[in-house]
Amino acid sequence: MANSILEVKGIKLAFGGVQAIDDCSFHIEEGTITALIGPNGAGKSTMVNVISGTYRPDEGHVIFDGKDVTRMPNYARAQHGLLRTFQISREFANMTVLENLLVVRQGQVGESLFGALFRAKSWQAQTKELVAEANEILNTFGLYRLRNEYAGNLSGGQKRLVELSRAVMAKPRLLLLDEPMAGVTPALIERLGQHILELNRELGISFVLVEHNLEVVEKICSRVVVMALGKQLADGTLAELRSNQEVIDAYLGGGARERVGS
Amino acid sequence: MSLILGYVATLLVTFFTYNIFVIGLNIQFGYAGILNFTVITFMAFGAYFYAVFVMPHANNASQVFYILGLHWPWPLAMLAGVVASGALGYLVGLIALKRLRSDYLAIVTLATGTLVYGLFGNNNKLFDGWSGLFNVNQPFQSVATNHPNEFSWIFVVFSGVVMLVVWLFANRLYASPLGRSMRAIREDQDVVDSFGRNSFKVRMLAMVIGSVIVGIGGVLTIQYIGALSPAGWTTGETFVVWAALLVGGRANNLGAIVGSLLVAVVFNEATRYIPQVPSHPNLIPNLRNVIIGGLVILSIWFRPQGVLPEKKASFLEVPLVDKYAQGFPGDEPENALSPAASEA
Amino acid sequence: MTIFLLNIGFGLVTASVLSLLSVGLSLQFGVTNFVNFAYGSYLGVGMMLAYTFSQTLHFPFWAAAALGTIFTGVVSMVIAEGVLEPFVRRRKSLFYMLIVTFGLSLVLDNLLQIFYGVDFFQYPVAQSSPVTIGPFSFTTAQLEIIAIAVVAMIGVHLLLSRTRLGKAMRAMSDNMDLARSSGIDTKNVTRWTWFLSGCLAGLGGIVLALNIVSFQTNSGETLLFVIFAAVILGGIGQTYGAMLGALVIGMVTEISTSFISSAYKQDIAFIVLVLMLLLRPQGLIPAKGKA
Ligand SMILES: Nc1ncnc2c1ncn2[C@@H]1O[C@H](COP(=O)(O)OP(=O)(O)OP(=O)(O)O)[C@@H](O)[C@H]1O
Ligand SMILES: [Mg+2]
Repeated sequence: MANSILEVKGIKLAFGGVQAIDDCSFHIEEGTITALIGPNGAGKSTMVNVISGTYRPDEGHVIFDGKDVTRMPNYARAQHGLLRTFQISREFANMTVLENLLVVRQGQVGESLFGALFRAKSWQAQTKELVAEANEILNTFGLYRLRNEYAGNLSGGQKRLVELSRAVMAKPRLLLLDEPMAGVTPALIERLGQHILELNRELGISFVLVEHNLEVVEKICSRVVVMALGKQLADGTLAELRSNQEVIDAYLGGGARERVGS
Repeated sequence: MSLILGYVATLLVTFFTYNIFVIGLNIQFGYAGILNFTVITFMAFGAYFYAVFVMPHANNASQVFYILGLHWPWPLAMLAGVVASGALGYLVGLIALKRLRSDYLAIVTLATGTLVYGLFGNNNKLFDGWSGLFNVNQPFQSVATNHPNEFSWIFVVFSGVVMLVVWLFANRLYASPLGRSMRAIREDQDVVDSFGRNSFKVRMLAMVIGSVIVGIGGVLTIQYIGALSPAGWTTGETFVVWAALLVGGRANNLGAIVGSLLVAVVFNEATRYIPQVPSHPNLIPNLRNVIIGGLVILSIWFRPQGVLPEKKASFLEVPLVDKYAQGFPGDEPENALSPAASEA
Repeated sequence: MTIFLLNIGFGLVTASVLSLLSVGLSLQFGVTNFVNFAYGSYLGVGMMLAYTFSQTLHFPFWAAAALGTIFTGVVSMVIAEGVLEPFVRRRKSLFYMLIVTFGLSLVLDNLLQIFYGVDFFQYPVAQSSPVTIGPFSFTTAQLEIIAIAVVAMIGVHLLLSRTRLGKAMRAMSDNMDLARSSGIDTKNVTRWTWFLSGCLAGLGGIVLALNIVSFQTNSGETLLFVIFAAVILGGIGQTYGAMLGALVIGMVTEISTSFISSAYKQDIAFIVLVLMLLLRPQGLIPAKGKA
């Protein structure tokens, strides 16, 4: 059995009166693409926020790569390779697409004040290499010719691609994607799915994919975790879950039907 | 003739010091999105602390009181003044740069300004209260006392060199990965955090660097004039710096230069010699402030990016073959990326 | 001990002045979601208009105060419609909205000085000798200030809980999108909010002037951050929180004068603000989705 790269244990989190996550546990295996599905308000985004460190849970533990990161701030988790994207695109609007990518690479010489001032030769050389690397990534995502556009001027679908390529530039080990295909044309959904598969195969990045579109889930995810009302309801392959009555009641057959495959 | 020369020298020194203020604010606001509504307090900190480090012990017989009076050599005192204003920036940052809305920081800076102003003015044991400090030791002191005109020109060169250093520093910072992180934080702080940067630290750095630079301008101001009192650093002065930055162009240091030339030098000087209305001695300064405030508002309406907008980043690169030059497999060409998908 | 109790009495007066001001700022913040840095200048507008109505135009003082209050509301509404809302409609970022209101404060303060100069003014009201009530001692003016504040707070409470306008304001404060989609005329409500906020600022300025007796156009200016402190203490955008914040700040600053020089009153407010930001930035009564 493969190692689990991420484990959440007994997470609870309430906002005022709303118990957004209520004793939820599951694990993610290294090198897999796992879907996190559930009806609206199930607590998926909140869970992504807990895993990435944006929210601190009231109870429970987040274990990344064998290490308890529950008390670690979000930037420190990211430094260990645990990264996320947001449900709504959040590009750096007044910076070019290329710069959006350059910002996120860690360990640059010119990140410290001393380095920025006194090791200019060194960071200039490094930036040149990073530009080449970023251009390669942008080229795979079809954004190469837009590299010098301000990210804020792109279309919604293009911003989605920027989010994904920016995440790739940051060299994640586990990438949490919160509805990367929301509000995207069918053709682009197809491509995003392909990209995720390739990143998983070629770079070995593990994924957690929050997604309502079950067609996509079926195509690229090897395992599915179902959440409802803040709890983990079931997990397994999509085929297994299709015959699980609880899941059908809570999600597949419920009010969310119209969103399935939309 | 010498009068005109002296005037020109003063104009140049004003230009250089305002440039320094604007660059300091630019690093805070233009780079890192920090709203500092009391820029001028940092200038006063630099100036006052320089003064009390460089002046001899207060002579109580003359009824002038101030703290310290260490009589340090002026370069060291200069350093002390700059450290003081940097320290103030650090304190303000500690209070307000934690993950709070940007209004809070603005409120804290404003409150700090009000408080420091009252404290320095009402308390005559600190920096001699409302009368302020005078006879502050100047650099090149013997020239200053014996040949005031030559001193002016030496000081033009001196402040010009300081300004140049600050300018080069600011530009290098802008282009560096650190500067890029600052600008990314200006756009979206949370995202920068979630990619592994401690945005609090980076913002704090911008806050302190900006305060230090404004402090340098403050030291130069008091070095040139040899005196400073609270009347010389009212809220209106903070607006002059803001107006210069917004008119010139935020996040563009060349814009900062244009802005301080237009606002701090041309506008300020052009209005300086309008004769006073005897019945309303404050009319002209009040009108000036109305115009400066209006300028801030109008520039945001008509040209928020300023006369010289932020430059688009460009990089030296080896061109690639665009894999998708022909559009995307399975998509109609050109159409593929154009329709703005509706956000949920 | 007696001085301590006396100061509690003064605390009540200061809290009354502050409650008007912090509720006015808080209502507007809740609905528009940006802080108005020109709010301090509205105090000056109210103060001076009441002066003009009573001294120059010879209205009875109560009528002058009422007119000053209402006209400040109108000024606030006109500024919002003419200057601020156009910026909002252009979707200027929060940064720019704050800078615009900051610039506005400079314009207003200096316009006031152009019209009224830098002299000290007094309202034409007789200075009564203090009345002793239990351990407290108040001037008639101070008693009136407390009464005005209590009536105004009850009025605000009734407005928010009983009227359609008040309910709409609360709905917009809680969730703008939801309010808009449920058919609230947000534009109109925003307009009335600015009016109300201006009225409270004007009235607050007038009672402040009554309390300090002799005033200048900019006497309200330094109070701005004390008002902020009360608003943040209560939880930004929370009206009842702002009342509570005003009470706490008013009491703390006045009681502190039993122990330290009254010159440092504002510093105490600043310390409360700082502690609050460090320990509980969401305020005593946190608002949903704000801060
Ligand atoms: N910041 C917050 N404050 C208060 N309540 C919140 C907050 N964030 C989420 N909630 C509540 O927590 C519950 C879970 O929300 P969450 O956004 O995690 O759901 P989700 O599964 O991501 O739904 P969707 O599919 O619509 O994105 C919801 O009831 C939501 O209203
Ligand atoms: Mg969600």
